[in-house]
Amino acid sequence: MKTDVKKLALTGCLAGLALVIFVVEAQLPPFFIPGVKPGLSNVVVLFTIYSVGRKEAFCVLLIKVLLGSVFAGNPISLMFSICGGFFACSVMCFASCFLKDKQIWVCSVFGAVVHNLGQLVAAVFVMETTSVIAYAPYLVIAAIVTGTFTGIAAMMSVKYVKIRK
Amino acid sequence: MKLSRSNLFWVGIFLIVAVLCVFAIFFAQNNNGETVCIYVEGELFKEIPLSDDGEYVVSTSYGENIVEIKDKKVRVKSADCKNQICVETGWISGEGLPIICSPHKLTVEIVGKSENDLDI
Repeated sequence: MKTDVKKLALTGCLAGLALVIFVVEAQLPPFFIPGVKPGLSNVVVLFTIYSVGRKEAFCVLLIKVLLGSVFAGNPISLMFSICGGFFACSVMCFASCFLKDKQIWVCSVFGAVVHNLGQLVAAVFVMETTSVIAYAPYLVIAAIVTGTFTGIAAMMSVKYVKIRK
Repeated sequence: MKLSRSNLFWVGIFLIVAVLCVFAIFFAQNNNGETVCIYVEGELFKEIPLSDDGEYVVSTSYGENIVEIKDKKVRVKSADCKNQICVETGWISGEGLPIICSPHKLTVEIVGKSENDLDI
């Protein structure tokens, strides 16, 4: 198997970028609902899906989540991140099959909604109570708002950042 | 961003979902609670009537949270957890939304009656 070195280097750079955004974002004060973050590092994951490849997007996500919790988290937040991140990445990869470049924001909203619901599932297991499901409507609204914004940012990135293949 | 027909379709879908969520939030809100239940890892840790004003220390192997009850409202006054989400949640006054502290696996809920009366 021939390794595409350019792609490998590019994936590494994107993973680093996602990680930096993730760590910086973790330091930001919360807005509106406690615990809700804009999910800016998802811009990088979306960009990777649309401009590089789906496999690479999963690599970026894995590196971001694992190293991110080393730099800015704890074992429990790692569980939340993995749960949300992998649900979201799977759904976004699937959605990217039939959503064109002009509809990346839709893909992003799907990803954000599934990410938040995935974290809620993680919360049910961590807290061992189903009462946390009461947060679901809040999380879905937050996901639609943040997903739209990060999606538009990702759309711009895909449009203007050209990668030489 | 130009709103093409397909984009409008998705804007519509998401707006409908958002409105449904707002309805769900409004219907879930009430102020019927009488008892504050503090759970750690799903186990009932402490049960306090909502009318008993005061500060209650919840100390477990995960860490310490101080729960305050005042004027039929509950909040986590302080906690030694890392993310402080439980403290930032602020006061809750009715059934519905619990206060969550995920690093300490703690939830604080207001329930209608005493836990012992529920036949689950």
